[in-house]
Amino acid sequence: MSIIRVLFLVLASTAVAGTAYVGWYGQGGESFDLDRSVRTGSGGAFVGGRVK
Amino acid sequence: MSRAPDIKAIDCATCGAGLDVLGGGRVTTHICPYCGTALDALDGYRALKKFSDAPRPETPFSIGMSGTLYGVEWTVIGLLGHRERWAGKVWEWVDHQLYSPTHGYAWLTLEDGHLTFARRVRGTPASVWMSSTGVEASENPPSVFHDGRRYKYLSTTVSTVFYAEGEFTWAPQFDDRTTAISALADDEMLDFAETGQEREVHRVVYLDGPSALAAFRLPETTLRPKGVHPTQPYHGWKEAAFLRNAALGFAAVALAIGLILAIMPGRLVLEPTTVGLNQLPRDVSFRIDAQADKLAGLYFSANVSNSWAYIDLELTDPNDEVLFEAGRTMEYYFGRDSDGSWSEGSRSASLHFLPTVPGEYTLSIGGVEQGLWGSGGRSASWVQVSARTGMSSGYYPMVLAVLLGMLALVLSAGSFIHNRRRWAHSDWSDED
Repeated sequence: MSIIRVLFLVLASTAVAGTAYVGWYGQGGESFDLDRSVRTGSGGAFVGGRVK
Repeated sequence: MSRAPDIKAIDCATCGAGLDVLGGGRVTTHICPYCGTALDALDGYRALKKFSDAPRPETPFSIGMSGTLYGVEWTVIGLLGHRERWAGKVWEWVDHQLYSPTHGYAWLTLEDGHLTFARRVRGTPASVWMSSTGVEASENPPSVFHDGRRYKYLSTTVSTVFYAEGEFTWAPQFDDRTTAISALADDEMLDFAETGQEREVHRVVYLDGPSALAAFRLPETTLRPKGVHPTQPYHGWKEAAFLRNAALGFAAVALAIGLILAIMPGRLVLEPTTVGLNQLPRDVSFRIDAQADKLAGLYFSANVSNSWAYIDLELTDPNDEVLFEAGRTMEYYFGRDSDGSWSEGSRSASLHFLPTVPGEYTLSIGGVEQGLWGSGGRSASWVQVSARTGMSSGYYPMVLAVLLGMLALVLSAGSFIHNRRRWAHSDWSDED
């Protein structure tokens, strides 16, 4: 098996295992708006005329 | 009837040039390359007529050259120049008639610097055939199956012979029209042609140019192929197929892991607790003791009805430090119109965070803003909150799956583009 194949298999395995590990602990699942106010633009969809 | 087998050379009946006789017993016509006179090989090489004065087409091969292809030594015994005109464009190619005393006749074709090798396929069943009328009557590109391969219609070629020299098993006629239909499989092509009462099927395969030239002791750089020939195989990076398949396999594994992690429910640490909106601000506490290093979630719902409600939130950790401030909107609208009932929005909302330490967390619901839609709107009177911990996230495994899928696509692109260029030679149009 060529070095490129071995390298790819090792890197891909590591990446899958790594993302599975951090995913198990919930990394990447946090809400993106936790440290800032979301008041701007709030007020419901109908205010912007988006309601059917 | 066949010519005398012991004749090795003749003199042209018109110009007197000495001509080697290289072909087998099925040769019927010998065209002098010097004066263009067609000689009858079955009748003492008497002059039949002058073929044409057209200039010899460009080809590195000449009559008498020998080379080994597919383990068989072939000799070039004839040369035909073909021309096709269609829609103001002109295509030209050169067919070289090859002969082997043990394997009979074959064609070496040169077009746009590409070399192909064709041999007649004998004994094909009647189903392995395409005709012009059949193609024109078909709504989709017709196909035939032969030797486990599917050959799909590629093009119809109507060509004329503008140049001929050497020996042939029939009598080429200047400007004679030949109609051939080509059908393409993954790595080879079938050509269907009807001559008189006889149907001919030829199998065409691509020749590696430098190797074929070397076989005939010609410099390997003699030809400069243009574009992609329909029968040309794809020679991409040799590792591409393995890496593409491996990337797809790892992408599937990463996607499966991501989906499993995404649906893991965790553990309820705050039972659904209802808070009246007229009681705000209010604090709600819950404990995260086990699995404090995993994702936690807060879930809200409100009794909005054709209305919206926005709540201010602040979470304090066990050290009395504010972990974050946020807000969530719940909005739900519904009604009926000419299309029937409709609804949009959601009475629920959520947020997720990573706890810092085990202990008691306090959620402060600071205030509320509300609005109504239409005359039937009703303001929310309460919000319900619950919390879960010990959750996982499929985000990064899914991102990895997408990246690996994109890598597989990139690795497939070369083969895909090559295939498109092969089929670009097709004259099939769905609009006809």
